[in-house]
Amino acid sequence: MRGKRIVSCLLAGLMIFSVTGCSTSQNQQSGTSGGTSQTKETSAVVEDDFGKKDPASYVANLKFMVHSTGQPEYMIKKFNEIYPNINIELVVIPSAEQQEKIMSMVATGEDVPDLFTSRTQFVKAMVESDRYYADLGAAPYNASDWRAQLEPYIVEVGTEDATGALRALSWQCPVGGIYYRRSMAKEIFGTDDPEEMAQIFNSFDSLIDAARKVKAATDGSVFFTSDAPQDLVFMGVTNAGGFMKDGKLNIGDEIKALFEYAKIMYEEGLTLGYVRNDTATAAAISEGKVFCTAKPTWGLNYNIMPNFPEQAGDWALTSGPHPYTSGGTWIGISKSTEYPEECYLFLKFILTNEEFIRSYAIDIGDYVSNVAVQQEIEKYMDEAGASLDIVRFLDGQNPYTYWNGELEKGINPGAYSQYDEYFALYLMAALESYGVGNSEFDKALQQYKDDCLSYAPGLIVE
Amino acid sequence: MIRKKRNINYGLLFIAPFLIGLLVFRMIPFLYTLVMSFTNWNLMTGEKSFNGIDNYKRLLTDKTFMISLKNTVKLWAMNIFPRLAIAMLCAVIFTQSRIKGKGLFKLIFYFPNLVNSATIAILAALLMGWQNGYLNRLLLQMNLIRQPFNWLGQPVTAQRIVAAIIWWQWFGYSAIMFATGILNVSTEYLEAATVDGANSWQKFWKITFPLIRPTVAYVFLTTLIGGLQNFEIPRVITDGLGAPDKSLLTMTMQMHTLAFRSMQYGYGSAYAIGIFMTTAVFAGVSYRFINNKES
Amino acid sequence: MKKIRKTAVYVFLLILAVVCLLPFLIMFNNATQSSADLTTRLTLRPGTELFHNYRNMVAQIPFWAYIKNSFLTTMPNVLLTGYFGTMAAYGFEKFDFRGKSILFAMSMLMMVIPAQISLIGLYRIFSIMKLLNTRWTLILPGICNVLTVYWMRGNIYQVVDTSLLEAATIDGCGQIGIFHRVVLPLCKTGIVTISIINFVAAWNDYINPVTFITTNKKTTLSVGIAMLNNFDYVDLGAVYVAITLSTIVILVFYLLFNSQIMGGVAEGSVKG
Repeated sequence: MRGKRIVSCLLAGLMIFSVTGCSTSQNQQSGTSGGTSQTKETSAVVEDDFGKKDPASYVANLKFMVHSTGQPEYMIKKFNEIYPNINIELVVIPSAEQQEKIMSMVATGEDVPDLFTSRTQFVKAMVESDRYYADLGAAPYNASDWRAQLEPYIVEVGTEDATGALRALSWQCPVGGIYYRRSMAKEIFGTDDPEEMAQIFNSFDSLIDAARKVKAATDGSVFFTSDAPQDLVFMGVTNAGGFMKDGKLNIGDEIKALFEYAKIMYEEGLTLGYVRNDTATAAAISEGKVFCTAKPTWGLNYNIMPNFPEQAGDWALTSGPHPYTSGGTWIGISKSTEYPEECYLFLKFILTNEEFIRSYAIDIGDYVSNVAVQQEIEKYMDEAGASLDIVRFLDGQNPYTYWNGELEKGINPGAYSQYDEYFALYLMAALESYGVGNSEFDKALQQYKDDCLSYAPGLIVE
Repeated sequence: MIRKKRNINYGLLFIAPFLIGLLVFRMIPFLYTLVMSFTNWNLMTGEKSFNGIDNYKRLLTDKTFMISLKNTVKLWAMNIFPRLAIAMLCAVIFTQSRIKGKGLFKLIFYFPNLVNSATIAILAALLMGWQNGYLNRLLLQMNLIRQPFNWLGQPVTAQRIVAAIIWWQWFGYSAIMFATGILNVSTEYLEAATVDGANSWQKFWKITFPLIRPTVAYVFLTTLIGGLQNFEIPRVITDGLGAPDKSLLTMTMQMHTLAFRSMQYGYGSAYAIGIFMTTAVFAGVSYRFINNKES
Repeated sequence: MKKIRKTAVYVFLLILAVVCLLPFLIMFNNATQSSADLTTRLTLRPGTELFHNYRNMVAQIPFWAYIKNSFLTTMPNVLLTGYFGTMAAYGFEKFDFRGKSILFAMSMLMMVIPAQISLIGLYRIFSIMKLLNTRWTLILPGICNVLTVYWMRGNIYQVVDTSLLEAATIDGCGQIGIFHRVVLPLCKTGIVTISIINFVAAWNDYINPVTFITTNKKTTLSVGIAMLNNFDYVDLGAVYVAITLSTIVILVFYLLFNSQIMGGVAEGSVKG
């Protein structure tokens, strides 16, 4: 199964390249043989050749800290095809330790990696400080032109609010949606068409009604979702303005409403009740006990496709009440790296080299942040159709069409704060507590406030 | 006792490496933490200045601290009494009765202590899952329950399960400790008692039991200290923040979150000192209590 | 009456034994199931995916390198702990000097400090000593294991007769020689016993390696298993294989050394 997928992807990739030819996109490195032996030390050169030397002449050993190796390994492999002498060593840290590890390394100045990733949940903490990531817009990188090539909200989030410094960027764009089972939808709602389902899901109230319908039609044997708190937080917080709003903890009406929705879902048996338990959720979905799940882009190729191969063709993707994003990985160059040029080349490669990004999108099945490639892949998937596993899995639906469309609705980059990771966990815990009935609304809300305050002592809470 | 030889105090010499190590690897870091506890060092914001006893004032009014303290003690109490009881029972069996295969049983009972805590917590989470956990499926099949029970979602049962896991891990270890203590009771006393006409029961209660008081004290104290530092199992078995409802939040878990997740090294250090104080008090009180009971 | 009691005792022990062993069986069994099966159902029947899971696991992490690293840090740590712990215990037990009780009490106090507290300070110290990211961070702290000192003190009290020491002194043996030639051999059983405990603790230790070691060349197995559990796509089959193998290492070590103890006990019991 897996082998077949790789082969079909490779064939597809080959097709694309033969169709488009060796397109020299504006950012492709010109592997010229101009053997001007300019050394790194010569800085007083009229023409700035930062990053523009002969690819093979770059020799370096970089350390790249990540929490998961799949995508980085692919990137490095492709990168080495053009820059064979830049050796990148992956340093793997369990994701839970990542933030702390980087911060303590920078604090002691010890062994800081040249490149490191941050997850969306805490990227703002890295970006809003000048101690971690270097400013890509400033010398020697001068990469402000990258801004125009990537999805705007990604650029916004990676930009330091106070100074406008561009510190981190992501090669992905984790746009959210709702994945649902087509067969169940047909049975319960009479249709499995994503457009019509989007109508059914276009507000939280109608979403809850749909959940009730699921329960009624299947006599309670199928649950609308397996993890109500997580789904609600995913789908609702971005629209509510984020966990932090106007410099204060956001406990506006939209957030309070989430509590009520959680209660309804628990009380009326609309959720299976797992909270952040991927294993149990996967088991339930496999047995057909769950109708849908709110997940961003990575949910498809990291979660649903690998875990439920036997359900290929029975899934579709549509939008929930509001556009949202969640998760995702960012990358930046360490402020203290000794190889700024080589790091710059790597970033430039994975963020702006359209040839690479295309093959990445097809081979890995990820939704990329490069705007031009987003459009290209949408067309490509339309043409390639069911010959692509990912399209076949969605029974012919083109996921890029969906994701592109969702982005057009607009994602609010201001909805990201440096506390997102833990505030989300605290909110989910509070929603669960209230929903299950372990505490009253006031107590649950107070618990959420207290937890957030405990995490961020200077927080302004009303 | 061997007295000093020549001018070299060998006693000091022998304990020197240990003490130096203690100084460098335990004492100094501890003092560092103590000093940090009076600062507002926050790795995320980068601030690092002294703020007197503000952290401690915050600690004393911190609701979460109280909750974590309560839960830590509760988890400890829930597992210590069954643990000591069963361990003592096993130890008695091992040393007093003529059961065949004692060696094998002793061997097997120690196995649970070998497993990585995180590993066993993951396994337990799988077993106790709500809709799909092994235990629920078994009970459903045997018709003992009609609906799956949310073991790890209710505070009371979640705590009992964690206590049970800790018990599972440690009762063998405690049993062996007790058995060693019982065996160490000098046979002279027991022989004298036999000569005096005492039977096994009397021998045990009147001679052995009182004489293993130091062992019992040692086991109790080490379990107390270890119990108050419970970290791995409650953390891994649910969401790491003490769900459900913070019922599994222990003191070291909260300290870990404060220091290593929200990067509040200053307050986290004060929290750590708070844990230390609490443990010291508990240990001190227990020690007094045990020694006072000694006639 | 006696027979009923005996049977009751057997049943009791048997139940406990099953309780002890069951999770191991489940763990080993899980390593043979496919990852898909593991997420969806429980089956007690052994599966056939062991080799497949094993291949997946070694593809994700350099498993054998991690095991080697674990050994490279655990073995020296255990040796250091046993040696210096016994030495310190000997010093405390058989010698008199000013401030002995205070020093001993202070050492005991160190046990009360939770491990996490020292982490930050220890990180700083290792940084100053330029030892960060080396295996020494996991090995050196072995010389100050309080539990070992306490345990060995009791052991020395039991097995080392002061008369023996005095005789050796008269024979012209230097103090250090006495320690090596008389005390250490006598304490063999005790050292082996406490070494098992230390081995398990060091082998399973997660928080120290993850804090002090960042280069993957020196990462230990416990961290490797956490990584397996933390990747974007968790392959449960691989996780269970890793856990099983790690547990088997400890089991083997335990059984090997336990036979040593059994032998030792037989010897020692002649003394009584």
